[in-house]
Amino acid sequence: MTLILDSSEIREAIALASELTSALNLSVPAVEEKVRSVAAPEVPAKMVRESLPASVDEVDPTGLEYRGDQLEQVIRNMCQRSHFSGAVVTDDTGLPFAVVNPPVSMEAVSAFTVVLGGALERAGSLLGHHGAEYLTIDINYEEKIILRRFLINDTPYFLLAICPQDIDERSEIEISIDQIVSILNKK
Amino acid sequence: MGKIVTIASQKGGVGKTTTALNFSYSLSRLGERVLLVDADPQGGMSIATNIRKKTEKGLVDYLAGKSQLKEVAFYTKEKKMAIMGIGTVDPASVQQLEDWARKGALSRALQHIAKHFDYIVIDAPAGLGSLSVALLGASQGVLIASQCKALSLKSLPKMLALISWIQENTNPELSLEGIILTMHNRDNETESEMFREISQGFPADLFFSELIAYDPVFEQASLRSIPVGMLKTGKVAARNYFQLAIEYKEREMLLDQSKGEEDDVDSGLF
Repeated sequence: MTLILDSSEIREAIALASELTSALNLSVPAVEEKVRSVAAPEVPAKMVRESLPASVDEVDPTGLEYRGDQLEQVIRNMCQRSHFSGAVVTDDTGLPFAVVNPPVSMEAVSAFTVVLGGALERAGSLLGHHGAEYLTIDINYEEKIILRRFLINDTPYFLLAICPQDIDERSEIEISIDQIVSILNKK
Repeated sequence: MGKIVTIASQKGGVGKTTTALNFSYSLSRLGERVLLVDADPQGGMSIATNIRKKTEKGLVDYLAGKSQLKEVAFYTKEKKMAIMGIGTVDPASVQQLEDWARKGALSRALQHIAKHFDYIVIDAPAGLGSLSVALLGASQGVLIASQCKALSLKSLPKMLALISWIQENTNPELSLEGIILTMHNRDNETESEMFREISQGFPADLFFSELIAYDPVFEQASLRSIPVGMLKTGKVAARNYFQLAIEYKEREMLLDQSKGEEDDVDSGLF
């Protein structure tokens, strides 16, 4: 027995919808529940990092259907390759486009990105270096926060990542940003 | 020319205005120039965006020739997104609006305005009246907003039948681009079960996979007359709409590709 599928209105809607969408020919995968709710992890970021599997096979982001999933896969791959605890891509208002293992609640991450992003821009102009685009902050004895500002069509975006202090993360960040830019830039 | 997309529904109170506003905002954040038009005489969008603070004039006044586009459409601080309110609404002007709709003046005006934007997103009135018919007659795309609730879902066939009629009689370019499920409460077991059923029963590409979750923060955004993404506390809720805009763009790309395959291969360089 079904709740709604047997009703005459729904059967009529299905028939009409089948006609209307047959012309669309979209190869969109079958619908699945995808309500996003991002909450703070229950364990500190450092513990999460230690529990990340070291040798998980990377998934090629270009094989994914949706751009949001591709973005998320890029930063997931980045975190796995270099043992980053988590990462977030946002726009300049803090709107998160892709999130992997956020260290605190998403509201806090958004606010944090806006504050640091504003500080980065202001500091750059005060020092006469308008291209200032990289900020690192040690958050404890082992980890640091990286904020990398990048532009797409003159619109600023941010990649925020949490990573161990003892690694040189720059090349990893730059590779990932290249991938992020190509995904967001795709028409 | 920009694309005209109407956000429609047979039933009222399903989150159509909220969807039009936040979907437009998300498209603009993706770099598109978007004009959000309030075409509902109830003026929900004009209230939701507080455009009356700028001007009392809007679509009705533009159609009457009393105002120019620059006097009724205003860019927001986001620069890429502009808003046009419904304008002067009284019983006479509503009747006049419906008359313009029937005579095609509304469609012609929208197509003229579309030259200045990448997208015109229209917040249409609920129901199947002459205004809805004219708006769909002028649109290339229609998105239906619906709640995952029995009454809302059971009202779908009327809107789908109208779209089918318009395709056959007035606007063959109109494309049903999908149904957006709004105010989804994942903790409601009945709603979740209905969602599972319709996912299996309806064509797989009909519903957007991004569901818009119910969140009290939308009410806070309404109080401030801003899109939820502009609220400090609204970033998570805004992500639903941002992902929806991305999914919409993906669908457009797939549709363009499938249309391109049908084109005459000898007609261009490729």
